[in-house]
Amino acid sequence: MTFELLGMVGTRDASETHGDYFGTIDADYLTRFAQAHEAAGFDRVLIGYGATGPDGFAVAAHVLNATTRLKVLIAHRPGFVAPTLVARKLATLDHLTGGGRVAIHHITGGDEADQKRDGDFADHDRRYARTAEFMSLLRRVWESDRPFDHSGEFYQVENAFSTVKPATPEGIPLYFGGASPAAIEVGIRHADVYMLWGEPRQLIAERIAALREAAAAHGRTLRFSLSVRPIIADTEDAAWERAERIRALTAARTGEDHAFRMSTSVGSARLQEQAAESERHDERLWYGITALTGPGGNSTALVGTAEQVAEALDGYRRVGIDTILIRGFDPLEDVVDWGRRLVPLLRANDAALV
Amino acid sequence: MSIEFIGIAATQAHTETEVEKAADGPVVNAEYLRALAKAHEDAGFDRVLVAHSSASPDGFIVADQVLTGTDRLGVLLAHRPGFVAPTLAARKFATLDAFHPGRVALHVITGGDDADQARDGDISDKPTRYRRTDEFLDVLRLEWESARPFDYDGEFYQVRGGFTHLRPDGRVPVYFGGASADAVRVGGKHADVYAFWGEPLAGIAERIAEVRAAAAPYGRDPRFSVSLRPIPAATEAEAWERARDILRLTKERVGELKKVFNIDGSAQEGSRRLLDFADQAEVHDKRLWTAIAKETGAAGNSTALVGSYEQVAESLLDYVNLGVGTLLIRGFTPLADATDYGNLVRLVREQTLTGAPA
Repeated sequence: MTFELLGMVGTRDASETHGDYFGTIDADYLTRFAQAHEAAGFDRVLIGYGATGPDGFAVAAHVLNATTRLKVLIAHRPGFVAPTLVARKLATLDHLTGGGRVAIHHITGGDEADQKRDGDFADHDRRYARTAEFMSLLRRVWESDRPFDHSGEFYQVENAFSTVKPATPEGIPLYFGGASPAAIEVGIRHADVYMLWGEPRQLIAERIAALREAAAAHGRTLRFSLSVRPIIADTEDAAWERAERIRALTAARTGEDHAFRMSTSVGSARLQEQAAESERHDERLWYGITALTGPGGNSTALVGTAEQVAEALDGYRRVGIDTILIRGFDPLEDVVDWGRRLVPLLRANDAALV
Repeated sequence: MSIEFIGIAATQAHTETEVEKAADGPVVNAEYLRALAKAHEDAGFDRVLVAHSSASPDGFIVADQVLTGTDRLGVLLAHRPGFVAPTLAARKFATLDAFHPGRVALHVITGGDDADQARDGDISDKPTRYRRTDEFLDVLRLEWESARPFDYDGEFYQVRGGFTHLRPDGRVPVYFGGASADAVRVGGKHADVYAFWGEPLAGIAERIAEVRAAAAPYGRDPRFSVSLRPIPAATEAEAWERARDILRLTKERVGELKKVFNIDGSAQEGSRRLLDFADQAEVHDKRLWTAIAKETGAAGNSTALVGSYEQVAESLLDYVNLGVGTLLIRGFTPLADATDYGNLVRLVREQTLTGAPA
């Protein structure tokens, strides 16, 4: 069982509490941010996608050039680049950065306004059908040792072939996210790693069980990743105080554009329902920011001491989570802090779990 | 304005005379790429072309490595409209520019070879592709320049609320290639630099006039680039000896070349023009040698200038005197040639800077 610890980098110092996600690129910040993850013991960092934001492939190249062993997970949305070309982009990056450091995350677009900015008008279920065809073509380009034809609903290619294949035998892993029935049908067939947002442990256990069973029917074994936002401090009280400060800072900014106003995301709706039920689930899963910002991405927090948060994360590991993605509200400073206090605990506990 | 020199990036030895090596080595050889980029920078080149084809390593990634591995060398990144949404393509170029300010240029190629287009899923015909290129560049510029969210409704692209903060502010020039009437119409509207393959001087003069006429209604005054394959040596006789060796190697491999490059230039107006010139004479002007173009079907930049360094530099200056500001030169052994071409770069710059006929 290999435990993977994921962080996330952006090109500007920003979170719900401060800064502006959208703006020019701060290359020096990105360099420091990537190097901080590597120094803190992270395995990989996620690079997000937005239809007004920077290109993730160029950001990934910068991160990989600035570090020596840190890996990347490039988020992209199928539908905007030909799948054969994406396959070559990933394989080229894989080769030019030492091999084995590149993975791709498929997000199918929860927000229709953001899809239309890049020219996509397809509806939710149609987008997932396209993602399925896209992912199968990616694999086919990488695996095919001769030119092939494909005639599908979304893509037609003749004599497709890439001279460049993934650099290592392990290949380039396909991550995937999505909570709707349409998403599940795609993920169980095509994903290597299925990504989940931070929900209560029992619900995560149920989703993993259902996904495992559905994947098994196709002869597939999935890995699972959980995304959550730790808020840690020296004492539990101090951590909750910190959470309240984060809430106040975020509240002062609500009304500003959180960019997810036309959400069709089932995953976001699930988090909103859970937030409405209770602000706190399990021992320390906190929905304060989820409730404030509305439908969006990874927004639920684990609040407590480093030991308590590590224990909560271990709880998810016990129900089948293989990969943990953590991102802070003071993104760079938190990574440095976690490297001192949280990551060593996760690694030690993981060794005990095996 | 100083003459701009553009060389070539590659991830492996991969030319008419180096195909054999390609079969042995990795398709993406990071060390070769870095050495080639560095050799260009040291030789005084301004940029290197990063080419595109539908089976090759991706140019954006290659370009980033070139830029990361050098200090001031720029890239001319070839891009075929039709495979990336134009808003996203605009952000891709802008992101690369943000990490390497002022060192990125876009080379728009509309795709001469139907089979290569189909590999990546494009089955549209050539007139359609040029209409798409036109829209692609409209949207690209809107994404780069629009101060507020914009909508676009075209034949190929529809956008609602397109917007980004990533604006190159004029730092990413648009180069454009194509010899057909459709190409000239679209290129006249959009090109900052219009690129030609190496035709005889009279052909280039004719094409400059044609593009200027197409650009004028848009209030545009593009610059011009000519692509050539110099074969220089210490003496003219040695250069011709080299040229004959290159031709012999090329003839031996013509079958392999067709397979490896897998490009059929016969439908391209630019190729047809080069083949017509090759039929008229093996050598045009003072030393424009067309034998390789003829042998390979002129599927790309394939005409050579053969002579001593001084003679080749003089012939390059003949193009400069027609109004050409950019010289794209690449050799048959790119790594060794990049270093060797430093002599040509120096000679041409000396001539143009000292006010000699230029």
